[in-house]
Amino acid sequence: MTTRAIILFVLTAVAVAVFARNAGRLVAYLRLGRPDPERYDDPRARVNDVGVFVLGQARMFRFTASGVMHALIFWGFIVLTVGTVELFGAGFWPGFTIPLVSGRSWFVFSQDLFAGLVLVGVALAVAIRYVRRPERISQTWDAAVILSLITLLMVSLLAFEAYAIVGEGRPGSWRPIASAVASFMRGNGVTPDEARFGAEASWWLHMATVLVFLNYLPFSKHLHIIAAAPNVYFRSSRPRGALSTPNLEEAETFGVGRIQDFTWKQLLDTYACTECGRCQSACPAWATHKPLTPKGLIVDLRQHLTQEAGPALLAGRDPYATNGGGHAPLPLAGGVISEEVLWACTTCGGCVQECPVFIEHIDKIVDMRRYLVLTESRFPAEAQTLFTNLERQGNPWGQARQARAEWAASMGVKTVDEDPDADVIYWVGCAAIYDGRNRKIAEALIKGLKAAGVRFAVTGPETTCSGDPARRLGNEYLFQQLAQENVAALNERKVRRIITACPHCFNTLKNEYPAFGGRFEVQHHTQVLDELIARGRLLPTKPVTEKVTYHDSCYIGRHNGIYDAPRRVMRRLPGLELVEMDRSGSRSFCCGAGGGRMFLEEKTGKRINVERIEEAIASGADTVCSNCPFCMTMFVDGLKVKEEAAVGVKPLDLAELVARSI
Amino acid sequence: MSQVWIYAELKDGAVKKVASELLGAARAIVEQRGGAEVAAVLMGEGVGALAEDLGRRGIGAVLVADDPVLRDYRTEPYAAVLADAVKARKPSAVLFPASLQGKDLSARLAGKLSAPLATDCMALDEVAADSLTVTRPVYSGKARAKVRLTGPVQLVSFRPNVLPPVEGAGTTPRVETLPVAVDPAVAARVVVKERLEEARGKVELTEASIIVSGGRGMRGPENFALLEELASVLHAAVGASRAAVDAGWRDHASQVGQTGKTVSPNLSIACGISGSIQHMAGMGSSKYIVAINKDPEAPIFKVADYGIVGDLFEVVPKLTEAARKALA
Repeated sequence: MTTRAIILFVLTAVAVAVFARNAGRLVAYLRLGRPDPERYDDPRARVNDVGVFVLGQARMFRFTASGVMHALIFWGFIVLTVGTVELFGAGFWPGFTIPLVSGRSWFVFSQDLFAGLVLVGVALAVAIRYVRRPERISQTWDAAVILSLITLLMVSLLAFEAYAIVGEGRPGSWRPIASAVASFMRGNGVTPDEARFGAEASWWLHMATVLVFLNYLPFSKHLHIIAAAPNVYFRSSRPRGALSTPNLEEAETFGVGRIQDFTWKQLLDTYACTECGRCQSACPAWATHKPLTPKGLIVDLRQHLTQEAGPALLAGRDPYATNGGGHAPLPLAGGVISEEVLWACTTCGGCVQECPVFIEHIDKIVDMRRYLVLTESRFPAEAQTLFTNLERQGNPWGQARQARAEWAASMGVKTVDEDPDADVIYWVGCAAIYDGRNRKIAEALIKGLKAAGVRFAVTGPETTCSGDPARRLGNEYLFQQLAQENVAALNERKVRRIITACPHCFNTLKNEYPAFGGRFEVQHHTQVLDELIARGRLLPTKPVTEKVTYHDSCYIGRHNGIYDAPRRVMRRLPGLELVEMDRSGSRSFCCGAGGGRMFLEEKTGKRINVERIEEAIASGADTVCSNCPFCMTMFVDGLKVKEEAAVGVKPLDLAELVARSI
Repeated sequence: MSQVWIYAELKDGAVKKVASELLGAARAIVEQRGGAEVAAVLMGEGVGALAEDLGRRGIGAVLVADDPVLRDYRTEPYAAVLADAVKARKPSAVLFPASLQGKDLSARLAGKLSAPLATDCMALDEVAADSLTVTRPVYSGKARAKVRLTGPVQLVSFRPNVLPPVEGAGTTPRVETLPVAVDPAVAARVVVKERLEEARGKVELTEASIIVSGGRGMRGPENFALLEELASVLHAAVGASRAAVDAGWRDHASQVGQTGKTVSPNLSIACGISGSIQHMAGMGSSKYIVAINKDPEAPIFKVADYGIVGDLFEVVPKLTEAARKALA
């Protein structure tokens, strides 16, 4: 071995050893988390996800400039890593080659080209970060260091190649960028001797930067280059709208009150975060000046894991115990992550939708709410009203349970007990039973179903609230009680098909009841109306001369991917003009009522429903079309606040638009 | 001659009107049991003169326990005196108002006498020689239970405002004095040092028997003066819907609804409130709801007992005027 090889070998060995030690600590922190058996199913689909979302960068391009920037650097690094392996191999053993690759002209060309493209990517990154300065990005030293290191890696690589062309007379034929630099060097009188020295120096610079870069990763948000791929691979295979179902009978603690109560995958999420802030830019709480930012949540958890709780636990100390006279340490839920942050979330899923590496923010927030509610009994006073009403009367407003029995008769429809052979059950939901405005939506839907000749029946007092608000506010115990009651009532009546006009009922029945033995074919009324019209069973003929903007509710849109059915319906209504709001489809903006927030006060910042209704008014529409009773209530309230700007603007449900046309 | 007693609770030096409500039930018991009379128990310091008032209500016998030790209501001295009286005179039943004082005193007395007690009753159903059957709410009012009390003396407290008040021919009552012998050690256990009166004028929302509330239809904070005026005539409290509170027109403390206060007044007058379930959840248990709204489609008319479709700025002043005349 030459001296050069020995030096390189020693440097590499030290760098790898230090990296292994630090990476080992990070792995040890992950192992503090609970097991997560849900993460190992369907390896084929998981590998496919890695292909699409990591190699293919599929989600990155939702932000075009950042997506291009990242793709240039990411794909560049993949290609250049092969070259790096070759460089190190050749550094240890002169004459080392990678079979089928080394020396091939396409490979030589790819190294040169992508080094250049990465520099273009870095330039784009600098332009975005320091010139355009989007609000979602925090200006950190970390980011500057990383961009500098990447620049140094590329510049040293290209310089090495260029010096080699000048000094050693290497052919420059497949190295257009290095050749250009080489001719520039020659033009500036660089001698071959100088160039040989330059080549050696830039080679060492490049190799050293690689090793420094490697060792910087464990302390940086750039750790994502290691953690992102496994994070995508192990992503949740539950339906998006379904929360985890803990076994409360066997649980010793409820929810997450300490960092080690998270699963290892939830901890891995924090390593995968690059602080790109896409989640924050989609967050309705953040947009209306609440203290919650999904990015901040993840960063705070990572900080807590790697700086405070993790080291303490590995050293055998309890990070949450008061250590003899010292100041009391912060608890996790309600301390490290403040209560106001936890209660601000509407579970709209904007963050989860945007995150390129599939971080699951909502699950963590709900897990911490579960701890606050079930273990500490700490929650906003209004939630107590909701919980008590759900416990006693099975509906959020504490109205008489018996009203469910009278409702069917008053609407002229049959209950499932009166018509056990009905083809489909219309799950009415509390809002349509107890709230005057939402009752009109039920009337419209019933008119449509009857016109289409659908044989349907409704449930009575044997069913209650689906439990969605209780579950999302962390009262898992109450949710499971309601879910079990409802599933038992439905199974007893051999119910198979269910339609509902409430996205929250829809999501819970469809995605969450299977865990309780309730397997139904559930459809939202937007899907039902679409189907009935497509099959010609409903014929919308009367003109509906409205200029309509459609609000994608979170639990129909993002959580369940239903965007086209309601729009198809509207296109079939004669005279109706559809205009889109700035934020629509998967980028739709929450009304403010999700996550149980319908039943909480909103005291901080701007009201979310007002923010949304302003957007609807700005679209120029005269009708805001909703598909959710909670959205409807929020819009009615929001329009009252904006009554001067909103003259002539009214909220209507899709079912009401259809009913006007038949 | 065995008697049926009414505990005549005092407030601000006067007999509460609930005494007239208890009188009806007491008379019913007396009639069934035959050969008995109704007597009122009056306790306090310098309260003898109030016997006349009880006479005017049609009560023929008044038992007075008048002593400085009874100046302020305190559980133990009152219970001791009353228990001694019951033991000595053996009434067949003692009726109390289901007020804070009545519930407190009746429970203590039941304990001292080992007598049966039914609290918070809503109706007297049956009377037998040695038993009473009464109706009382259970499970927070979701169901009613009929309860039979058997024993030499039955204790019952009735909710105020549920039994109809009865008046008898005014009479000059026979007044008898009850002995007051309270062990000084017992009397010293609890000492009333100060009485803090709640500010007069403003009626507490959750305790008001009439509530006037305003919503978005009030159009601005200054217009709540209209409601304040009506409320002062009716001795009512003023509430607001979330929409009005969100607009900053009223304080959050006056918000009625799912996320505000839950109220159950006898009468709720809703002005310019559309009646979304979020609001109705807080006031739906009002006994009577009067809605004033210019939109005939407003959901509040579905739940209101009386609805006025009209401009509240015309209707409310007229209502205030009419109430003023009627109550004058």
